[in-house]
Amino acid sequence: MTEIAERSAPSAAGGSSFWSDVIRKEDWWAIWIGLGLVVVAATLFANGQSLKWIAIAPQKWSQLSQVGAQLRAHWLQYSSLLVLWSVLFGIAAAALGIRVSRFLISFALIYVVALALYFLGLWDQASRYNLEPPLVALALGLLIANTLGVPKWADAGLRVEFYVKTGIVLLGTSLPLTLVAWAGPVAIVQAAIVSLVTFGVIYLTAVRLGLDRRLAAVLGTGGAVCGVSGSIAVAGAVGAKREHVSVAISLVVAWAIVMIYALPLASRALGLSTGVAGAWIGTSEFADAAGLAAAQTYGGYAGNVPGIHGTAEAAVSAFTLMKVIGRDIWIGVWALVLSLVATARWESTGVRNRTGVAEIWRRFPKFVLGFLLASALVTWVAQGHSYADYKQTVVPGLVAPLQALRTWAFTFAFLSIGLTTRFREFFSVGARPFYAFTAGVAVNVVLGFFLSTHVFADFWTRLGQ
Amino acid sequence: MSSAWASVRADDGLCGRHDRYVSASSDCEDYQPTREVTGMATAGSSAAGAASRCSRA
Repeated sequence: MTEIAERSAPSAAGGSSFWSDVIRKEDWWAIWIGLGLVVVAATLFANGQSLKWIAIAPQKWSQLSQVGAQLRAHWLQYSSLLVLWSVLFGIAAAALGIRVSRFLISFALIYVVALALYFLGLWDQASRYNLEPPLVALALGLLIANTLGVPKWADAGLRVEFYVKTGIVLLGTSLPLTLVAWAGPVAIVQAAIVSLVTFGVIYLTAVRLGLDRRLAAVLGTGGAVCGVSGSIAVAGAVGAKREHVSVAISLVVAWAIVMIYALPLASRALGLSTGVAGAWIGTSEFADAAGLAAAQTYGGYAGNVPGIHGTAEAAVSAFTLMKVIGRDIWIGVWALVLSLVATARWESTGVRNRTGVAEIWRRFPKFVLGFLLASALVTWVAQGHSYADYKQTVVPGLVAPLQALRTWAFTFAFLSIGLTTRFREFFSVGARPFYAFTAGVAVNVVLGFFLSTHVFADFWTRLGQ
Repeated sequence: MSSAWASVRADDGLCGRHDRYVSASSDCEDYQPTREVTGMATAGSSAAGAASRCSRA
């Protein structure tokens, strides 16, 4: 959140090319890391081996002595996993211009805390005390960041979006390409309805309240499309003021954090199935990382909380389809359309914009390609196996280790959300932007709930089965 | 919750003169070439330089 202004200016060396983007955009690094792990895992699997030794994950426990026993038995695997993540993320950090020494120290601390949170989530009493790892990670991070504070050098390792993108690429291995093709269009339709209505409500309310049209557009995209990223992308496309972006970011982050707790709680109270709740979270959360925290939390209720039907994976899968396929990938189209409207209809800002159709590809969230490729690769590997064989050999040998790595990546992200959020930044947004955005939140939550639990309920329920 | 290295940012920059976010394809109406800037970016409207040219205009 704090790097918005620091690192927005592009290099002065000239425009970007495909190859320079491949090196200096974290979307591509998420693909190299995520897809690289998938390729290695698939190659090992094809040769009768598996990635599961290094993709270590804690097991269920009921007494602290069992935690100690697990750590003693697997310390070499946990240490090796730390080295693996450090090497992969460290190379990316170096390419992105982040100081590697600071990154590695910060990341090592994040890894240790993530390990503790991973264990906590597997305590057999965790759900009884609402100790779901994403919520605890967020709360712990918020507490530290807003009381003790986070030293500047530690910022280097707090890369919420990078970890989430890597996790989403790995998530592709749990979603067969056939499922993406089956569910994707429904997600797109539902998300399009909610996005258009939410944007309209926020934009029109903001304009009625006398706010600048560019601020209205930046707020609207933040609420309707892809949160902070959407706001910033559209800010560049329409030529919004720097303060517009700050206001939008504060509102998106504040509401995203509220929704991490509110949506799983409401879904639990209403007894929604995991697929339906995931779809609702996908339509009504504002940021990928925050939404995944909420969806993973709700998925954790499956099998642990009476009355919650569906699988844990269904919540995360439905969320991802809705948010990533239904909303995120359309940001380039939103940026292009709003840019054209701003140029043709709004007052001049002194900066001329020459946006064209290429803008759609330039702003396309490239990590989605990694997600789709990972899905296609595992679908291809699994093709020759019967369902029983898939469950018996492909899942434990290929999919489960990649799921464990995905959980690690998401836990790094959830921890980083809290550690990079400062409550004091929320108090300078002003009343009118708050009212406009909140009006959109209210409509979004109600409409998303209605579409997920009534119009498309059967569809999302089946996803969970 | 967002990153400066994300693809959706494309090559946006900040126009210091107008205090605005600008995309890579933008031009600043107040742009005046200087020796320093001309040495940095050669294309007239390519914008990796737009932000920096604006801020120096």
